[in-house]
Amino acid sequence: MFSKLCRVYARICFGACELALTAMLLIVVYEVIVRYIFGSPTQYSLELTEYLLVSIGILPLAVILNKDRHVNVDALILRLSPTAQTKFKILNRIIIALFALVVVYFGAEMSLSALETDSRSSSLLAFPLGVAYAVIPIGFLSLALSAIDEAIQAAKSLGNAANNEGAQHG
Amino acid sequence: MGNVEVTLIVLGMLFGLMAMGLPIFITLGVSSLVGIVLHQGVGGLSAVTGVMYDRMSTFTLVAVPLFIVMGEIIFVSGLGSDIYRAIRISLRKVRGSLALASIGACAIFGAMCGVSLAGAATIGKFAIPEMLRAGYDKRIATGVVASAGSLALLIPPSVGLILYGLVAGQSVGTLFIAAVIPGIIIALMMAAYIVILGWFKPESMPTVELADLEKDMADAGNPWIVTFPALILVFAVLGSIYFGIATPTESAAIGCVGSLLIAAYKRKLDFATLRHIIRESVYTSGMILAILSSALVFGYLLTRLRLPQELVGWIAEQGFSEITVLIAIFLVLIVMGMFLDVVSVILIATPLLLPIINAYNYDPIWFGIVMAIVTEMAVITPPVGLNLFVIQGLTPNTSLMTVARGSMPFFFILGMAIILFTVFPSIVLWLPFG
Repeated sequence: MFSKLCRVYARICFGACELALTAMLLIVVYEVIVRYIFGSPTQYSLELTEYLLVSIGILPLAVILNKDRHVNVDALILRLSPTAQTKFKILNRIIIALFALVVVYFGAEMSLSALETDSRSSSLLAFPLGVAYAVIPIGFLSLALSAIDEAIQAAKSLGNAANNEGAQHG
Repeated sequence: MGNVEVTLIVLGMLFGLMAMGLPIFITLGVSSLVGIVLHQGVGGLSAVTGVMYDRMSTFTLVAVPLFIVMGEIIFVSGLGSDIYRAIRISLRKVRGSLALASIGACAIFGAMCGVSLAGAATIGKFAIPEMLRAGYDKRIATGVVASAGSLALLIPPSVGLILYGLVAGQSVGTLFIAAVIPGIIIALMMAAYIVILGWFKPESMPTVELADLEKDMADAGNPWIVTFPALILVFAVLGSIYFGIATPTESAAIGCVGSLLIAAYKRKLDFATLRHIIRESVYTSGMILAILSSALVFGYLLTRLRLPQELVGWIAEQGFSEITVLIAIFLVLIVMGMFLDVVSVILIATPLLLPIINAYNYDPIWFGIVMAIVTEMAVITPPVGLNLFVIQGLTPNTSLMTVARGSMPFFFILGMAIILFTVFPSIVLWLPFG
């Protein structure tokens, strides 16, 4: 159940990211057309694309972790036995989860503080900054949950492997 | 705790966590958080998310995902094989024509795509089997594509140069323009090496009849018909930046539309392909931006610790000569490149090394170009040279060492290029400032 919840949450974040990238492309293309062909640039495109950019950087973190697409240096780890590799995976996922939770805490604090004071961007758009900042806790919470889920799965596989080995010796 | 102790702990943690196989953005993030706590206490952490958000929300950075989308569209459009065939047909009477065509195609592909893996993978898929069928030495066939594929890291629009521009506070447009001549010179140096090798070791790259190569692609039509619009696209993207008509972000959008039109003309676009393009672009952009977000926090910590200034002061105290410092910087970058990916090298090294470069009055634009060339060296150097892995994956029954050995001469060519641009920095700076 927890595992499924994590996956669904991560997929929703990733889907939002796909939409954000598509929207960003369309907004910049639209801006190029209205600026250079019709000579009337918009007031909002620059600001909106910046909000979308941060979403693209933070919302897909969990899915990229699941798909093992984050860059890492695995030359040393790959030399270890499969069991040791799994143990390292559990440790790594715990570190990722702790890091992500720290960012969630301070990101939520920043977002809530901006919402409470009704802070808005200084542009004509006057976008509520609390909403823009909320991307950080939402994305990193997804990362934390996925990391915890992967740690649990890895621990289970380690336990199963130990049980199988015990049964074979028995 | 003193700044030196904090710095040592942070750097120790950074390398320790990297060795544990953690994603680079986590290693940068965790060591930065620990450094901030040691330096400012837990209260210092409240600035972290603000730094992350404010420094990431930059319009120039919007160009990164857009150029990645453009590269993905070009990748799925099959344009790489057309460019390769067009050059191959034009050079058919030259010895080593297939290797030369690979270099040319990778250079043109690099001018449409800011990621080196795409160029090496796209061109390598067609060029390496052809070269091997024609009797080319396997090391040359694999090495030339792995190395020429790295040209995308230098030839604009390069994602690495955008990131450098952001961290170094330099104009991305100027960096793009400055990279044009060095990119062409390095491509020509690689081509010259192939011609010389063909002269002295003709058995390593036999001549091949065009008819033999074209029989498999008889119905593929004239490749120049599609390649010509691609060249117009390159000039539209770079020209709009050079003449100050559009910003890099806007030119990236122009590039996306142009490449979509080319892919549609080649009947390579449908809804599923578009979704694939967006999904892959999100993976790549998310991975790069994640490292960037943590690197910005890392840079913030370095600034609080005054590490760059301390480093400059220490170097000045030691009385090292300029050339010693430069050689040390290049060696540090090359060693970092052997173990880290391109994005991490640029984002970690720039805040540390740029103040030293500034202290010696070197131009930061020049340094950005040199750093891009070093990252080219990095992707063809074991143990984590990504292009080596891509080419090994494309070539059956080939060891990583074969590809690495084949890339070694090109590693030295890149080294020679760095020396050339260091002795004559005006080669780099003439086009943007001349």
